[in-house]
Amino acid sequence: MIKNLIFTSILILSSLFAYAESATFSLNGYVRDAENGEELIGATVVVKSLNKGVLSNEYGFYSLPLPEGEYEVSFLYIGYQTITKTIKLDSNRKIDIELPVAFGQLDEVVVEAHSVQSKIESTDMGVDNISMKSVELVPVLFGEKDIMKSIQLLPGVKSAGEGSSGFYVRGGSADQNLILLDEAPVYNASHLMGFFSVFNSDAIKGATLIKGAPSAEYGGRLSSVFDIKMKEGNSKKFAASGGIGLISSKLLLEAPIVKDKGSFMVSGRRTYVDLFLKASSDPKQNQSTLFFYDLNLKANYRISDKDRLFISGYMGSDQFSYADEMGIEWGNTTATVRWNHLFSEKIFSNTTLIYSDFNYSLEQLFSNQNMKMKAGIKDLSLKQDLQFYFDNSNTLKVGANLIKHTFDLGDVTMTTNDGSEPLFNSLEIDDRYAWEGAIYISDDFKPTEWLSVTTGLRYSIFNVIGEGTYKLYDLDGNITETKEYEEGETVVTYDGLEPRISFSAMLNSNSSIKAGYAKNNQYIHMVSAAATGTPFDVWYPTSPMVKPQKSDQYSIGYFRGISDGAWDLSAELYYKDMYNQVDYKNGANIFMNEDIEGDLAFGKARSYGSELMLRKNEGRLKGWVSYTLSKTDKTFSQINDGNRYPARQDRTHDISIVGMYKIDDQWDFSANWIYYTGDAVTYPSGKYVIDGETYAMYSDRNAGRMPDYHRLDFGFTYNPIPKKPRKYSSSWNFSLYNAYGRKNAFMIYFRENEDNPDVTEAVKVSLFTFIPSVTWNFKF
Amino acid sequence: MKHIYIILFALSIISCEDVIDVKIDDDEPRLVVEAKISNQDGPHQVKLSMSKSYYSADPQEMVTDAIVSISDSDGFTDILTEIEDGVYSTNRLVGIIGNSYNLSIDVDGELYEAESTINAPIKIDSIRTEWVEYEFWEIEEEDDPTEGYRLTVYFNDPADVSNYERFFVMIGDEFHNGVFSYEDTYTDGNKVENIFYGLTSIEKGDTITVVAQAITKETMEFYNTSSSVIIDDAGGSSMGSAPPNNPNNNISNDALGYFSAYSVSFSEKIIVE
Repeated sequence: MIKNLIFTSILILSSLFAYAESATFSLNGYVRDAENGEELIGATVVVKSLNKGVLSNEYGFYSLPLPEGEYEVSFLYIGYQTITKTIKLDSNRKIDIELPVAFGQLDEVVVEAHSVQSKIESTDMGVDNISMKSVELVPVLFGEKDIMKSIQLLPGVKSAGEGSSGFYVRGGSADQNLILLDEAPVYNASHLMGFFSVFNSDAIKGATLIKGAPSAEYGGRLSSVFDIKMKEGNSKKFAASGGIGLISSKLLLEAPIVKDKGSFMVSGRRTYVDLFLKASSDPKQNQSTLFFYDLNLKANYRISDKDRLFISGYMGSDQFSYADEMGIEWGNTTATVRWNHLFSEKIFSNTTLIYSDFNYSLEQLFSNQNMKMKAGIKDLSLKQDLQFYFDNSNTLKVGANLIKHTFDLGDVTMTTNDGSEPLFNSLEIDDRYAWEGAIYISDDFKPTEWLSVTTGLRYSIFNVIGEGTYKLYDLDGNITETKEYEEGETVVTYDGLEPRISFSAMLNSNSSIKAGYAKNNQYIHMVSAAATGTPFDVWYPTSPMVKPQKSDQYSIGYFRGISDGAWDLSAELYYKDMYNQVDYKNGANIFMNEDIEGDLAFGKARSYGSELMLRKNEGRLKGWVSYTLSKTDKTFSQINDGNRYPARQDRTHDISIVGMYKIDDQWDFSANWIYYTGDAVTYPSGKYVIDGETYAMYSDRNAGRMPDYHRLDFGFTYNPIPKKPRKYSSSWNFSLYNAYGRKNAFMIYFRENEDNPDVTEAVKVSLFTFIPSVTWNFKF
Repeated sequence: MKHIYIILFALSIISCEDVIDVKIDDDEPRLVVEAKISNQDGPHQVKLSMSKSYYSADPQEMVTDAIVSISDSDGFTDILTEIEDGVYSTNRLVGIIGNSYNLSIDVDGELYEAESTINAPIKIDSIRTEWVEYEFWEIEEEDDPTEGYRLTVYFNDPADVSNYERFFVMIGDEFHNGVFSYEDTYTDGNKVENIFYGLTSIEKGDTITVVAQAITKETMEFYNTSSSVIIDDAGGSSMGSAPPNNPNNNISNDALGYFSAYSVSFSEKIIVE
């Protein structure tokens, strides 16, 4: 630990010395889409004569320090035409570039070559940038394009189950993924049992998934960061697009506020399964609801050349009710206000104010007794980031953030319709409050031509405060100590240093070896009332009883570009130790339980594996093959007699094959095939009879296996080219999910044989075989 | 967890089920104990058997020639007599409210022990019956009636003591479905009414008896944690949530089953309309 710290400090200091040396000028500005003015994230700006380049940051801003002189500067981005400009640099210059969308394939080849090259050179490991173009082509369930499902096709990322938008990264549990929408954390990204995510693909610009060593600016979760950015809105002209699908319709409107100065975007999606219920003759069914909606809003305005303001928000909810007898409602709300400011050509600042809220409620009416349960989490946070472009091979980031968490752990309110005394008492579990703070420093530098280093240090602190009652429990779950805290009084404080470092060493012009280490601390955890897919997730802070989760991850990888970037290959090995992990004791009661901390067991987990990926980037046929071989197990003193047992998400093999083929200018074909080892689950190890009923006997946890999962999907996209130019364009998407009708196990249960109760059998429940869908999309 | 089942029910429209061969690693057989003592007239019985392979259709193997004894907190010990294979019966032991009981079992030198207490019963106030149309989830079989009797039992929960009860309905001398467990977590000290749903086979003229067993916290925990592992024809186990495990019980040495001491109260009613 101390060693890591010293090492990191030395690297940071040595890079700071490098700033002083050269007196250079800065070439800086924004890279945008010429058609709609959207900023392009990760565009390459390169000076070939000096072999120097930089990528635009998440706001499309780039800054390239160069000595005085005249340069050929190229601006490249996948799917766009390359622009090369001769720029004379005798002072700091701000050049904003607008790239037109590419039509032919020639440009693409050049860009791909560069993008593959920068991938090989950068210290990024286990990082995937997800473009919406590939999301649009991948065939999905019910034709709902979903970025959360696209990432499940990448190595190291595993689906949480059939049709699920939930995912596990490198053996981590679902609550160890930090999902950000315009910097706001999204605490429950599922709609409708998890079959859909809350991210309406229309409103999404792109996303980055980090599963390896994240840069020090990210923290708070052990396993991954999934950073999703919303579209900014068209700053050139009014535009509308949308789609009508089998289960939902979508509409997006965007327009400049003042041309080239600011724009807004508003996008909505709603499902309409419940409209069929309305047609039912059963009065209970036609009074029922079953739908979800999403609303995304974003506006931005350039106050000056140096200042830009963004406001974005998301609101979504699921509503499910059965007549007046039962109702379930859950949803997220997020809001982000951001201010980008250029202190100078070399110092980029971003200040963000964030709000995020997730809550659910459940209402049930039994005769005249009305029960309402609710729980949730609310965050308010402030974040400040600074980026210093000191030298083209040295970028420094520093920042800080502070979050105020409010945890609503659950309340049950009982009322009656007629105002009489309810039969059941209400239950109110104390809310919990905490401050989470972090400061970080991170530096990218190139000590030599062939070596790139990213090093960082993050310090995080978590302060749980009153008011509230906190208890300690013994191993059997009995209360051993109870303590009351006043409002604002510190209950417990945890903190920790999180060093991060990664290297990339070029072996030759087209291959590199990378290595990385990261420590992560996580101060909140989720208790879920079911394995996956229900909204009844409750987030808990650490407490005197529950310690922060920690992880150490080591990874090493080999990256290679083939045929000038037409293909690329990556191979990574990782090993991850996770401490203070939480699991349920045998017989835990996890729903609306005041003393749930007494039902939790604590232990450690480890995950290791290898990830291979071969990708084809050019030509009519594009796609990739990814393969993950991994193992994840847990050791808990109170579970399985303290012996190591497989985690539920331990999947030995995981394969994805994705292909996209351009048939002609109007037709695209795509297909994917997925295979993975079944989840580790607990099966009976015998049976016995008590009181005339047959009981299953259980021995080792997660010693059984679900059947292996595999599935083929394919889809066609038809973009008719009109004979005469028209103001609008439209496209059709046809897809078939689970094309060979594999009956994959959604769950397995055990029952008595109907004819002979002495015989017990296993029953597989499967969903979704042969699900065709069609979607019509339009744009004008 | 009923709400989760309702969502799963909605899903069942698009799901399908198949009986499959799942590879199961059977563990060593373990001792299964079914032992009860109550404040009602004896003799009280202890049944001993062994667990068996999951796919086996053979009858449960009974454990014979064990040495079984129960002693009470007054210092009296009764050595039980094996009246048939694996069934051991008390000779003179009387269950008294407030007393605790120790069960001791010796099977070929392996010793198993358990303790339980007879708590005071609650008093059933009254029973009300009404004729209703059943909800869809109350009807188990397709040809079950869609309307019939529903039963509500009224009682006062004693304040400031934890009460654990198991209620069930008898029609004449026959045990009827509809066992439910009651804990006073949310109802301590309240006037309580509990509704029996889905009593589809009660008819006019039947004499029904509502029985309340006051059990211990440990026995309640056994029942609460057993619901997910009971294999019935509907198949209730492995529906997600926490991984399934053997019910928490009060018997040492990894034996399965329970030793339950309880008291009984009941109330009778003849269905006249």
